[in-house]
Amino acid sequence: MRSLEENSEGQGKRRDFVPMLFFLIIGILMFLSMTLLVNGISRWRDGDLVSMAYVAMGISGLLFSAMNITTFQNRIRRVLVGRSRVLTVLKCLKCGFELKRNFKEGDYIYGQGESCPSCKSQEPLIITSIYVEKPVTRARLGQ
Amino acid sequence: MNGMLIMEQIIGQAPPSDTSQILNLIMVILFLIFLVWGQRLQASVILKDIEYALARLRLIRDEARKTVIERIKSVGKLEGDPSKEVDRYLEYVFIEPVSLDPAGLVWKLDHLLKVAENRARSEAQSLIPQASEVQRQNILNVLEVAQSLNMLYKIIRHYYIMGKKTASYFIIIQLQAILPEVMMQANALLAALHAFSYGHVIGDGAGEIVAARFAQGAEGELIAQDTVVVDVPFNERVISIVKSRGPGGVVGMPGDAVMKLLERDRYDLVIMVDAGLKLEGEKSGDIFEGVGAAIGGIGTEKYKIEEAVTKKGMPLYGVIIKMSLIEALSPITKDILSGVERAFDRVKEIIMEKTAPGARVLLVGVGNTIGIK
Repeated sequence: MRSLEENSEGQGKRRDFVPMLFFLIIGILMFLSMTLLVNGISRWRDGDLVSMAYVAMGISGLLFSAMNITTFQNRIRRVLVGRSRVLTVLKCLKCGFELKRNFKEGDYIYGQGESCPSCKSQEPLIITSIYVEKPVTRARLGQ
Repeated sequence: MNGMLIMEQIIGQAPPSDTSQILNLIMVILFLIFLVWGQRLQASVILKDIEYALARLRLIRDEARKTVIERIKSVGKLEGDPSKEVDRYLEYVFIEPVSLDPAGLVWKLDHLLKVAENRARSEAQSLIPQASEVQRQNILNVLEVAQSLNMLYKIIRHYYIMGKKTASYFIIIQLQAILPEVMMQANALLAALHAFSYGHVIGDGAGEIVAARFAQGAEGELIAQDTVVVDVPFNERVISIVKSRGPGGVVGMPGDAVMKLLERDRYDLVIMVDAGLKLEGEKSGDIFEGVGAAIGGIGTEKYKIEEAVTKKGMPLYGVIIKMSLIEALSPITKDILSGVERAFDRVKEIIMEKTAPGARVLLVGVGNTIGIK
């Protein structure tokens, strides 16, 4: 609930503080896990229970850290934003010439475009179709 | 070797040692923890998921708000900050009429919807007086998207806080169950933002494109609010095409238009073309047809069309172009455009099959006409 209170002055500071604390804890955990793993492996020859436990705890700690970092990364705001290439198709009603170009603001189906580069007629090209070439792509947002 | 010994100790085939006793104790403690606090632990894991989804929703909502403000500033050539007006608009609510006495409910709803529409328009007019009508209509679409996202975020936040406060497992799992659909809706609305901002044709306009293909960009007569009718000859028949007046982002009042036209003229057949949501696993751009009013929305326009057609005892056919929710609200794809071609051909076939020469056909294109004349 804390993270949902909006427009409060302290929230920005808290938001900055939380990732710092998170990475500090994860860093400590990774360091401890690595130490345990290295110790466990170096004592492995003895084959005692403690070295096995060290290795197991070290691997678990590293996996736990990796899982949390991945989750945190996902949380860092990757949302789907409509950044796609939209094309406008224009047709000359006199010579049948067809032109495909990037969409310009103000284009609309059955609207008029530029003059025909093929037959150089005075009649403008007519917009027959507008469509997206590639579907919506992922883009990073809010950073 | 030691590992085998531990396993034997755990399963009780070896004499107990200190290690096995410690392991047994840990297992008993874990069992008790899960027995007593199991549901609570599960609820807190689900709450974390919801919190994550909520953070994304807030981000999407904020992006929508930012887009609206930037768009208003650029289109309206404003020097001041329209944030206050935008925030006020985002908090508008539509208060539905009382349904205790259902008689006449549709007309009350219809009236309130028109009031809401006119109010939004007058607000847009006063906010961006320099903008053209088309730009204003598109800005209104963007505002509506931002408003929907704001409402979605607030509703999910409400249930999240309530679930957390009451620690009710059932509220939490219900929220978790609907979350994928809510996020799908939010992503679809986000995709619509860009399309509405720049005036791209969207998937929902598929029915309008079919109608525009028949009308070939003719101006037509204004028959209802934002709705025009164009008469075109077709193989010894006359088709009256009802469509929203583009290229601004409006859906018009096809119900009012059909009611007026059926009162005014004689028709032999009514055909409606609309975009419809596909089921998962179905192909985008496929068409299906049926009998009845092919129109979505709150239901007032559908009611009017059904009433008018029933009164005259006329056949009513519907052709629907399938697409997903995200496709309906984002710029139109090639798949859907090929569906438009198929729907166009199918409408011609239906007209030829179902009517004789000299007949009059009413063709209604339904959808958002953004980017289509």
